[in-house]
Amino acid sequence: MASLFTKVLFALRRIPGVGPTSAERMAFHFLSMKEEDFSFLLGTIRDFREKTKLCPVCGLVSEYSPCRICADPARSERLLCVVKDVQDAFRVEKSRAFKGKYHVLGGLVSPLETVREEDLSIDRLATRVASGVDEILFAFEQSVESEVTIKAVTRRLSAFGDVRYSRLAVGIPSGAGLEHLDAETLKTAVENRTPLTAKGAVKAP
Amino acid sequence: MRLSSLHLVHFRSYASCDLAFPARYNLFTGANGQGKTNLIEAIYYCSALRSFRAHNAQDCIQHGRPFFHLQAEWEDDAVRHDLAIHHAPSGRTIRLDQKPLPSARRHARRFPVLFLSPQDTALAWGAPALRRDWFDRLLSLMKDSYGETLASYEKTLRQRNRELKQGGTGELWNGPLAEAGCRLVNARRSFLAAVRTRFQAAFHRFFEPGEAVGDLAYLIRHDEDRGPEPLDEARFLERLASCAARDRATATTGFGPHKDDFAFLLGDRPVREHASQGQTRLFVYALQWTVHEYLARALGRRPILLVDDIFSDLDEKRTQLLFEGLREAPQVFIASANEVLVRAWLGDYERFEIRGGSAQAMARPVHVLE
Ligand SMILES: [Zn+2]
Repeated sequence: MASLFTKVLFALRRIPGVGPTSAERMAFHFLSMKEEDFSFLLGTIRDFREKTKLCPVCGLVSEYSPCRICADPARSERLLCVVKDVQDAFRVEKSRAFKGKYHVLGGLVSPLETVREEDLSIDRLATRVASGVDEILFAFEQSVESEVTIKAVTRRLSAFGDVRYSRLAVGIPSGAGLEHLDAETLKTAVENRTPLTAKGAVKAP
Repeated sequence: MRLSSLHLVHFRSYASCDLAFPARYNLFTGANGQGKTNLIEAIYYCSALRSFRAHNAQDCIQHGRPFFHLQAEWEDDAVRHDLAIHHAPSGRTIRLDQKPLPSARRHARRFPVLFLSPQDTALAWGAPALRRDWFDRLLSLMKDSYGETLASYEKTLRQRNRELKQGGTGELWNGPLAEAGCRLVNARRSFLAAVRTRFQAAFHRFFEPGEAVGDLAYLIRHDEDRGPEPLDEARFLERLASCAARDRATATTGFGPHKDDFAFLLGDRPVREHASQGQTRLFVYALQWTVHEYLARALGRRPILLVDDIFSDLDEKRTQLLFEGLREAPQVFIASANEVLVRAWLGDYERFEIRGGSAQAMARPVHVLE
C-alpha cells in the first residue's frame, strides 16, 4: 500500500509543470497551512471547476454565459480572432492588442492527430459571420496545418458574407506555437497583421 | 579544420576508449569484426550528429549499457572546440564548448566529413529511395532552407496520405504539397546541373578513353519528358490531379519529389542495367569525388574523409587516382585490414591497431610505432 504522502505526490505530479521537487514542497506546504487557508484553496478550486463552462458563443471558458468578452459592449462584434484553443485565446488577450471578440475552433486540421475539418466549430463560426462580421484574424502558429485550416475555414465561410481575412504578422518562428511568444511580440504580431488574398490563399514567407 | 582527439564511452563495442590524432593520415587496422568501422562511425557522429548506419541512435549504445558518450576535440583555425554528446534512451544532449549546440546543420557544415564505403555502390543499383536520401542529405547539409522545406514536405505528405486513408480526398493538402514539392524538385535539378560537368570530368579520369560517357539526370516520375524549365506549382497541381483516383484507391500520393529518381547513366543507358560491377564502383567513386570537390567549394573548406575499406580491388592507375584525392583532404581516417596499400601510397601515417574481442576487453587500441 502506498502511503498517503506518496499518493499526494503522485496526484500533484500529474499537474502540468509540477516536477518531483515542487510536488514535495507543495505537499509539505499543505501540512503547514492554516485550516481556513487550506479550505479556501480547496473550495476555490472546486468552485472553479464546477462553475466554469464553455461559452456557447465563442467557446472560451467562463463562469458566465455568454462569457464576459462576448457580453462586453465595448468590444466589436465585427472583428473576430480565430484561435485553435482556449489557451491561445488567453495568450492573445494578455497581449491587450485585440479589441474584438474570439472564436475557439477546437484544433487545427490534422489527419495525423485525427482532427478533421468536421471536428472544428466552423458551422458556429459561419452563423456568427452571417450576422455580420467585417474581419477575421487567424491567430495561428506558422505551420502547414494552420495554412490548411485557414483554407478550409475561408472556403466554408465564402457563402456567408464578405469578410476580410488576416493572419498574425510574420516573424513568428515556423513550427513554434503561440506559447513561445511573449506578450510584446504577440502584440506587434496582432497590430501588424497581414491581410490574406481574396481566395484565402496564404504563402509561407 | 581537423579532429584532434576522440573519447568514447559505451559506444558500440567500446566500453571506453581514448584516441589522439596528431597526424593527418590515420589508419585503423586489425582483423575484421574488431570494431574498426565503429570508430569511423563515432567520428562521423561527431560531425553529422547521427550515425550513417543506425536509423536509431540507440543501436550505438553498447549492449546492456544505459547510454553512450562521445567527446571530440575539433580544431578550427587553430582554435580548439570541445564537443560532448551524451545519448540515453530518454534523450540526448549535445554541447559545444560547454554550451548547448544551437544548430546541428551549422555544426555539420563547420566540421564536415565525407564517408566513403564499398557499400556506396548500392547508390547505383539500389532503390530510388537510397539515391533520394543521399542527395537530400547532401543538399540539406549545404543549405538549411532545403532541409526545412524537405521536413515540411514530408509532414504535408504524411498528413495527405493519412487523410486519404481516412477516406478523404487529401485535396486540402495539395497547395502546400505543390509549393514545397516544386522547391525540392527545382533545387535537386539545379544541383545536378551544377555538378554534371564536374562529374563527367571526374568520370573521365577513372575510365579509359573511348568508354561510354557517364552522366547524371533527374527523373520526374509521371512527368518524364519534362524539359529543363523549372517545375511550377500549376503543373505540380495538374499532375497531382491526374493521379487523384489512383491516390484515393491506394491511400498514397503518386506524384511528387518523393517518387522521383536520380538516374545514373552510362551513355544513355542506366548503370544499374548495363554496367559491370567494376564500372559501377568507379561510377560511384567519380560521383563521390565530384561531391567532395563541390562541398569543398560550397562550404569553403574541404571535408575530412572517412574511408571504410574501399581499395582492395582497383588496378594501380585507379588506386593512385584515389589516393591523390585522399591527399587533398585536411585529414583522412581509413579503416582497413589491408595495411600494405596504405603504407605504399600514403607513406607517413598514424597507425591504430584495433583489438576488440569481447566488449569486456575494453577494445583499447594499441598505438604501435614502426
Ligand atoms: Zn464568449
